[in-house]
Amino acid sequence: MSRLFSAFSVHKEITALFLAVAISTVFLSIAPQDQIRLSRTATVTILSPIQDIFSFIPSFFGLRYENRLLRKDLVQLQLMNANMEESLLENTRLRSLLQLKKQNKYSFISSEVIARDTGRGFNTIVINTGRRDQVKRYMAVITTEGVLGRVIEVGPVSSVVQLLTDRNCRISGLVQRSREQGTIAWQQNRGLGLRLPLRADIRLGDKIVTSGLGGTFPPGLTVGRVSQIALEDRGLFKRASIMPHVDLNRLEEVFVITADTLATIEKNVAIERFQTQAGN
Amino acid sequence: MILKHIGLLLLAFIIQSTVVENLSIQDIKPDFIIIILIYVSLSSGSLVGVILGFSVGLLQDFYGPPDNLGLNALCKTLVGFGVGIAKEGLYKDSLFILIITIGGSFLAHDGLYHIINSSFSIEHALSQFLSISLLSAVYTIFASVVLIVLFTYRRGQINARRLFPE
Repeated sequence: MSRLFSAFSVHKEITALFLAVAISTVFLSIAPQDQIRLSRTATVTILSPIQDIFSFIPSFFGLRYENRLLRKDLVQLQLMNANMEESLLENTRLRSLLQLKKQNKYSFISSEVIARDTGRGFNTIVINTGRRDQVKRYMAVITTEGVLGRVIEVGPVSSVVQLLTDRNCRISGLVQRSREQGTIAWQQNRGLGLRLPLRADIRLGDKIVTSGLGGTFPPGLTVGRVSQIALEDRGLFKRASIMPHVDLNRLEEVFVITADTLATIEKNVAIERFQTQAGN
Repeated sequence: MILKHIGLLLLAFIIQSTVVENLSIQDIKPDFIIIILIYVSLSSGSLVGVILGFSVGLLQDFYGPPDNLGLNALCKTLVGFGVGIAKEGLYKDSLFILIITIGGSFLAHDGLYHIINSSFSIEHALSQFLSISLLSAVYTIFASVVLIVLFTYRRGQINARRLFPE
């Protein structure tokens, strides 16, 4: 045993390499545990104040403040517009719901992007709001342009957001025109796509929005537009490639949709279903 | 010396996660973390290269998707070890040798990264490597040349040896 220890101490580099490779391999093989999540959150929390300072470098204070006010107004208008578009489409089928839909109000937490994923893909960002601002895990995150992702880690003053470009981020979506539903996911080398049955009614240029199923994203939020349609799985399914509406290269201000909004949406969906059944 | 290296790597990480996005051209951006890791390994050897490469890689993984935890740590551990082992044999006075070292290390790092990230699908890994890594390597080399000139240019001469006082 002592000879083994002396061998390790002589060849410190090899020992360190072996340990580092072993630990990395273990991390790659196991699912994230609570202790690892705690370490991630602690690291992000410690570094986020410094990153917040550095993220000012490419910005101008006055313009940023004015921008923030304008974007806040814009996202409110965008959400109202998305809501009204959905109401207009649904009105032809369910008239009694029109009044109910107009009363929906979204509430959200305005946040700034302070850091980005430094790896080879662009899968996550860090925002400067956390538990202190009532941000919770799995809350939806949007921009003025559309859906961006969801919160996966929450610290006291910062949070990690999983973007649409992460292959583990799956969103329930539908084709706004035909109401065909499917799952939106990112695939390597193929980008964002919506998987649909073979006979689904979908065309190039169709707008893809969130369906509201799953409870994370409110319905009607813009995801993107169909840029390509292809068959897959030996012709059993269709895959619609989606061009995301959000410009991921220009992320500064984002908005976290709060749980109050989700509770309101869930209540309204339940009332809709009750009224539809009562009407039938 | 070790504290200086830790500080440099932390600074590189913070700059990479905040400012570098504004330097990107169509998703192609320089990797300052690799540049500084190579500098640290050439200065202090493979033991320091392994430890700091693992640490900064793990830090990157904490900011990335949860299922990739350990990937950057593994790749940067191997880069730190490999460059550190070559420390004695490399002619560090030559800017050209340094550029080859940075470019080769970057491509080796990315090759391993894409292979593991694509679950060992060679086709996907090659596609990512050719579309992103080659151009990123060129951009990283350009950034490293700028840094070397900035820190070693004196009286009309560039002497890369000034980076490695022994």
